[in-house]
Amino acid sequence: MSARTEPEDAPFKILLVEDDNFKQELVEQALREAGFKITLAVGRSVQQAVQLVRSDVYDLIILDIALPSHENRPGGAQPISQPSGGLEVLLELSYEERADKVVIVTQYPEIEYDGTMYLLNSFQSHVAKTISANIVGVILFNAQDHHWRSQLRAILTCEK
Amino acid sequence: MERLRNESTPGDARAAFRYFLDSPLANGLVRPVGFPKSANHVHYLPLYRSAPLQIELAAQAVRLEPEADRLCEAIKLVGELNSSILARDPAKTLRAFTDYRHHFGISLLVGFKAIGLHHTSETAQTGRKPYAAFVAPFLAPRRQVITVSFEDSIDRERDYLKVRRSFLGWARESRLLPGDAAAIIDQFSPLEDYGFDLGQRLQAYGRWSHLDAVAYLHRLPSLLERAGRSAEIEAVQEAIPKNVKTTWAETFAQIDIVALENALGLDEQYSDRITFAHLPAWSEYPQIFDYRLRIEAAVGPRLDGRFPVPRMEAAKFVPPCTTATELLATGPCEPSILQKAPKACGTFHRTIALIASLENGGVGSADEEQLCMLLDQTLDVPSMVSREELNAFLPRRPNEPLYEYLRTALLYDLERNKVANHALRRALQRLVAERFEGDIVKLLEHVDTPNGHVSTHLYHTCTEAFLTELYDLYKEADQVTEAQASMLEWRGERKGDEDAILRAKSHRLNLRLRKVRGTIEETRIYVDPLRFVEWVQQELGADLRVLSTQIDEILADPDTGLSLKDPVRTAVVPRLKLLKLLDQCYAEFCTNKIYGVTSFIGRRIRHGTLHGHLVLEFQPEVRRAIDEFKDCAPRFALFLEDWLERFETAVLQMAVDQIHVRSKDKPKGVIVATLDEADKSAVAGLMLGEIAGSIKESPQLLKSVALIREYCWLLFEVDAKRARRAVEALRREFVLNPGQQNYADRPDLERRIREQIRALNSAMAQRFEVVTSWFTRPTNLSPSASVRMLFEAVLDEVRQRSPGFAPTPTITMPEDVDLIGHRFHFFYDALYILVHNAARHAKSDGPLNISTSLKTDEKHTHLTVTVASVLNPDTAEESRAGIDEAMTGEIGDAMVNHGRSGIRKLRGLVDSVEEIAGLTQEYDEDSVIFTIKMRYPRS
Repeated sequence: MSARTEPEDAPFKILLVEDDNFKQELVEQALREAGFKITLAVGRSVQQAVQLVRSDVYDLIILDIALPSHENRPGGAQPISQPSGGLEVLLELSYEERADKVVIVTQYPEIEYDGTMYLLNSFQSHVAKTISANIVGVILFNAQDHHWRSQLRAILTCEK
Repeated sequence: MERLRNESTPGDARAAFRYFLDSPLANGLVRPVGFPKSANHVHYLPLYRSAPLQIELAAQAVRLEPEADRLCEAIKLVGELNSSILARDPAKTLRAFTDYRHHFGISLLVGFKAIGLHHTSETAQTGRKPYAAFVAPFLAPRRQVITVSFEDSIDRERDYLKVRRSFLGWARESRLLPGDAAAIIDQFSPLEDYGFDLGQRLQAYGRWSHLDAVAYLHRLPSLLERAGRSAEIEAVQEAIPKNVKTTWAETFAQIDIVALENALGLDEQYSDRITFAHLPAWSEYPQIFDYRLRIEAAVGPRLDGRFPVPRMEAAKFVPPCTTATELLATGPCEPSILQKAPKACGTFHRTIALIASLENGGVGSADEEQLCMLLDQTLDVPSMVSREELNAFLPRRPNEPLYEYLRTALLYDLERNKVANHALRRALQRLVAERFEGDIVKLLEHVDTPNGHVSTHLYHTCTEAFLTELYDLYKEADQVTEAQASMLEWRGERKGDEDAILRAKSHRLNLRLRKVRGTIEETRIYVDPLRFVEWVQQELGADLRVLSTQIDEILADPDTGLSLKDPVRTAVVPRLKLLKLLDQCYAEFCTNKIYGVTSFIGRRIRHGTLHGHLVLEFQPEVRRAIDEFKDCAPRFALFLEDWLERFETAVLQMAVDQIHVRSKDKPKGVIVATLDEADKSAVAGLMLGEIAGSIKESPQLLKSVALIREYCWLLFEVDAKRARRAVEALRREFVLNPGQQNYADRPDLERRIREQIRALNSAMAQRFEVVTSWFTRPTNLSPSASVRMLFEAVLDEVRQRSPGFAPTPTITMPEDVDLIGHRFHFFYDALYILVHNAARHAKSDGPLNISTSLKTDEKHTHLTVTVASVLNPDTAEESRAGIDEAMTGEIGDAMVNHGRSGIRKLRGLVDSVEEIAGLTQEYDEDSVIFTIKMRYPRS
């Protein structure tokens, strides 16, 4: 878990929930390239993400879905692998009636919710029936193409 | 026939039915068998569509008339059977069953009684099924769904409401044969129509046997009266032969309900509901049937899960209360179906009283402790009310944390979804943090009562997955394991559950071992135990129960083959039938898309992550090297470029081809979702034997299902190894190896290139190590430790507890071995005792020699461990005396008295723990040598 401020003022406050280093770096790179001034907090597990959501309000939350439950540490117990762990952030936001915008950036083409797998393009409408989180986009991340970058950029531009 | 039934007068129909029965010209018609020897005949009989009741009565009257005398004998014999059951006289009961079978074949009424006796508390505890022969005709050659539905509804491991609703649902959705559907609907919900009228129900019972037809004819008047059709009662009476009517009335005039409850097991916590579930087997007694109908009239639609409920009439069974206090028991209760007073009745009746109260304006504003008590003394409240009723009963009260926890727990039980689960977790965490210092066991103790309803609910709610998601309470994974261990210990002490204590120890030892290892353990595989166990129980529970009747045959089968390739043998041989079920379990374990292995390898490994970790994160390092050498050693830079391209392609290909469950589409998939393969034969053989033994030992399936889950993890180890081997093969294939080739003209540059290659190989090896760890079993669910690791952990602990202990340890171990499963802590305990003993008696800085030898046979790994230490010369004599006494004296209370000698405890372990096979001790000059022999199933 880390928080750092970009050098310039009036930052766009972003929470990035991501456990894979390569994806975190690529998303951070995409954010920098988009040219926005940002404050970035990073949660690498569901537990950290929940803690960060509780401790601050964000302009945008970039959310991975498959996450470990807790941060892994030497000599510690194994965290549980959670293919839909990122949903906890949505549940927290909904419970707290928060309006933080969320964009889901996931590598898997489906998201499981309440025992059903939803394709990414239909997930938002299904989940909106029970969760009031402010999801502004769902993006399929594929490191080998740049489509996700343009999608993320478009969302950032729109939401800024 | 349909036209005859619908268009003729009762008189004409009677004449026609008589003709069909008597005339040789009607021999081609399939006729019901009055006293059948088996259940086969039922399947050849059609269930005709709805016809006037009078017509069906005519059909039955014609059939019963000529058999009246025999029927009277059958009825008298059922009377004798009932008396012997109520008198709890097994010999007489067995004789009555045998006589009935011999003279009158089978009937649902008698079959239900035999099934009922299988599920009394006595047989549930002992596992004895003395009446199995009388249930067998309903199980083979095919299982009769009507008897399955009854058996499931009285099974103490199953949820009565779920069973009732499932079977009614299937019956109403035409997923059962009409004859079965009609009888099942009547069995569970006699007052509701659900598409089968009274005539069809009579027809359905008539297909089974004369006795079942007569039993239903005797229930019909009450049903007609409630339906406002009293005028038809006379016709029903006329359809029953006079002597049958008289015999029936004399035989089943009265029943001693207390005796019945005792025979079924009144000591059970929910005995009024358990008794209620059994009553279809006893409805020949008017007061029993009347009781059933009153319950059904009051809450039948709620029991059926029909919301909004069509009528609110619970108050007809029990008067409503206006406050929670009026509903709460104030002293010992009498959980009999005879007792309806809320302050003294059982949980089922109190639940109906609560519902009556809610239907009539609620019970006012119960405080949180009252609500807790009310839930402790009722059952299935969220299944018996609608969401609207629950919300009206329990509005939000944010300032009362216990109330909010109970409220959200009920809402989650009512609708199991993520939002309700999250709300429950938030409420629970707040309660535990604010009131119980963050200690969930303190909450368990607070809500615990002799009933233990609320505490048991909380205990079962707190699965590992649930505890893991209490992110406010448990910031680290260690704390989750600690909490789990503490809850297991609480359970162990509260219920005398030795298995829970054993698992708690295992969790704590795991935490200790991880600290000793000090490494990061990351697995990306998990299988939700709760969902998997639910699947096994729901989908295969019935089949496992059927096989339990053949368990002796399975255990005695000398065949050791594990092939499922012969479909005929697999369908016929009981041992292979069980193996096939286990195979289905493992297939589900691997392939379920939501909670199975495939879900995790897809979402947590294959899609992007494997490539990202191995290639994208590593790429910059390789690129830096390419940039560094592209001018001074361009051939090397090109070599790296080419290598990187090939490596990326291979990683992507591996994800596409291999990181899958093997199938026709993915023939190279590393996960093989069957136990029928050579590498799994050792584990599969052990699994089969142990699970068969467990089914024999206890008719409760929970233990067997838990074992299945554990063995699935052991089977998965074979697949995980295959995955790790595939990863390792990829690593070996792409180790950077310049061979003899020189990429530079200058030796210093060549040296730099070699250093660069070493650095890249080393970085790559670390990355592959991480990927390998993704394919490991989660240690909480399936713990394992190497023997060497256990030695080191023991030495570490003894050093911590005995500050002056600083021996020079020598560990001689020709071969290390992994011990897998929750029981390896026995090995730890045994070793701890010996090393701790050395700390007490030996020279603190002297040698401590530990040596092992290992042998394996077909089933077991035999491990011999010798611990030798030099006695402290100052206290040697005293130590020898102490050791001798401990080795030869009475073991006494050493197992429970921690102040006693560890050696006595170890001797106790030899006696009581299967894995510890022996302990010997000898002296060699000034040394004392202990030898323990351990035996573990091979895995």
